[in-house]
Amino acid sequence: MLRTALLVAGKDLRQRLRDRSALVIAFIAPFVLASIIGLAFGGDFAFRATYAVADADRGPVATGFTDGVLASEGLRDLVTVRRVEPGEARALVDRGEVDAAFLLPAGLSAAVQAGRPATLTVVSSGENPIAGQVARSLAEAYTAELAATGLAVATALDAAGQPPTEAGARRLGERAAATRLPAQLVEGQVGGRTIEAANYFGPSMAIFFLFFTVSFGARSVLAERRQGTMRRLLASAAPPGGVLAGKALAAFTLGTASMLVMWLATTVVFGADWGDPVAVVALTVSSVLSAIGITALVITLAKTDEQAEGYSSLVVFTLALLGGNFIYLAQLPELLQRAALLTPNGWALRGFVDLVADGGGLATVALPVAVTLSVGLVTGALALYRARRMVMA
Amino acid sequence: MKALVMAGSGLRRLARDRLALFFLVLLPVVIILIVGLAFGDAGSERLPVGVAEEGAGRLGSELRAELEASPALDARAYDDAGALGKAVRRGVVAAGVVVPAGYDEALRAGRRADVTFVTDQTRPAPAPARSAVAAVVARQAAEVKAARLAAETARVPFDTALARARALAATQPQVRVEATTVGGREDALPTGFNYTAPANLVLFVFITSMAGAASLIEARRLGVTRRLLATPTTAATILFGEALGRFAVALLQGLIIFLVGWLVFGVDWGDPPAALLLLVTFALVATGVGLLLGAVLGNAEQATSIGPPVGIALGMLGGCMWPLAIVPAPMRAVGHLFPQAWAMDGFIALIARNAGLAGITRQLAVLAAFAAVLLALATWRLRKTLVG
Repeated sequence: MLRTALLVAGKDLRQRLRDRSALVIAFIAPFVLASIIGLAFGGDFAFRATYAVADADRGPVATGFTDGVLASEGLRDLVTVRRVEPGEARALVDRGEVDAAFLLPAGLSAAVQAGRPATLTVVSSGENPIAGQVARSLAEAYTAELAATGLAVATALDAAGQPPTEAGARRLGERAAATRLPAQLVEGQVGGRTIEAANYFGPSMAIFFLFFTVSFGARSVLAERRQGTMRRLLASAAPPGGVLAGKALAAFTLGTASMLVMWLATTVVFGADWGDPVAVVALTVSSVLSAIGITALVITLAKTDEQAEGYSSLVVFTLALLGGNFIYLAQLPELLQRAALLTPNGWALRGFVDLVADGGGLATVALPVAVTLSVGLVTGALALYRARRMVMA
Repeated sequence: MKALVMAGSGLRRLARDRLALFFLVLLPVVIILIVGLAFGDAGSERLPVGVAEEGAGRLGSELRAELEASPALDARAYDDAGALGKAVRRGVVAAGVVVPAGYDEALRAGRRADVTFVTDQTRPAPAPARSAVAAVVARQAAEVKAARLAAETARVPFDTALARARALAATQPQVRVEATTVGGREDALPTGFNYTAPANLVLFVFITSMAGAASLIEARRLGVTRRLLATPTTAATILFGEALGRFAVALLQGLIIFLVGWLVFGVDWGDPPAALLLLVTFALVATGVGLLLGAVLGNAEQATSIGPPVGIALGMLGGCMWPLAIVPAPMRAVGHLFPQAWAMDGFIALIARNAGLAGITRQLAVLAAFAAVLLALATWRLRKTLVG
């Protein structure tokens, strides 16, 4: 039986590898897609923007923004400032010549110093939303500093309880303006480790294509039955169990190879780090088994080839859609997020992502491994039962 | 006339194929629905944000309470930064706010204490969430700064000064930041269904055309086209019929998504005649690709298995999965080597900026050039397989 299994597996694998489309699905497509995502979202490019400043104020508050914020040490190399007339700022943004524009109105400094309300306008275009958001954050951070300085002076004067001398008030103002806000919002990343885009999308794309890669195993059972080669195989006294085991083995080998090649490729090319190797292998094996079990069960439920083809595409795309391999689950309604956990690929993806973000070993992925393994064993056993009956019939 | 009959028979075969209908209609609509929900209007609802303030002291708890009170945010408490990080990664909350341990102490002692805004860099948090959190943090920091200055200069206890600062903060005049966007409408980049509907139209019309090459290969392999040639039908008619059939499928799918987007998801396609012209031009490009693949690929299996991944890859490059505005410039340039990016540019201009026909002439011209070259190549190759 083992001999039969190995012979069948070897033949199936050779047959698959001769077909270039199998190579595309198993090895090339997942890597290319993950690379595109990696290049699109990889952090290797520095943020750069050109901002127009229309300064109709020409007072200290406006200068504080242009010199103190836009030309500050942290931004000087990233932001190019173009001084423009108030009338032309919008047109420049509209034509895409600058990424965003700041309009500092006439009388801004006077208003701030006198404690009157004022408005600073940021003009951005949808062409470059990130530069627009950065511009808005810069302006908001600056007005927050202005407000804080005003509040600090007012509070200090109020606490002193006596009307200040003019010099005293000015000293207070200078002192308040000299200190930055004591707490600010800084950017942080999820997880204890730095996450590279390739770490995310490598596993995600590998899992997405895994289902296509392994479905050939069960499909070839149908094909052999239709072509009559299955009957001839069994006539040669090959045990049916061995034939089926061989087909499963071939699918398992190709599926595992596809995942491992993706791991290797993203590691070598993008310097990705999928995490603890033992955990990666365990999760890979259990994911491949669940993919084989599900596709096999779906295909054995079909009566004809066309049905098998249709059912498996339907199930694979539905699972990919729900599991979050195709789109990202962020901000989906909670119900749909939970639906991801009804799919083995959703669990596998969660396991791989946890491993990348949280580190750790087998313990990190224990639950995803257990779930995908059980799915694989249960669906695989059901499929085997049905496949035996099909082969015998 | 014969070409029309050929195209019609192709369409009838398609209508009986339930699997094809799934890919043609159901899958795009479901994806538009799900992705549209995911990237829905950020302004329309309160954004879920997680807050972890373990050991941050009184000012930390107060900051959390302020975040919870913010009308723009739906702030939820988390026990620690680890659990919060997981929630952000899983998309349970759009972003996280971590108030560091010792926050209260540091601020009282006159030191800095920064609050971390935790995002998943692979899916940036919506800008309004960051703005709202930053505003709350800045408000509290301003009060602390004021209290410190007052405590130092007037020699009053910090807490007394803080209470004064809070009372005064309400009466302080504000310098407001007004954010405006140029262009006809409020948002130059469409959100929600207004983005996912055109994106999936472009994505799926292309994928369907590529996968549809399978039937052409099958017809060639079975000798259907050669047998047609034996009847008094010229090669040109056969080619035209094939092209017409592919074009009808592409256009039909595009129209279905167009109508479902408009009627079900409320997508505003801008100038409808211009959008339809764009759709027709893109359908011609897709037809050209389908015919070309049908001419050069060896077997039908190759077309059905290569179509989806290649279509998805080109869709990613062309801005169907995410707006090209958010990727680095080189990636944007690479994307514009393919028709998808031009079609998306056109739809975005129509939908978001209300550009009329005149505003998308460049995109239409580029797509027409794509279509002309692809159709010419495909005809030349197919003619060789038929006659040569």
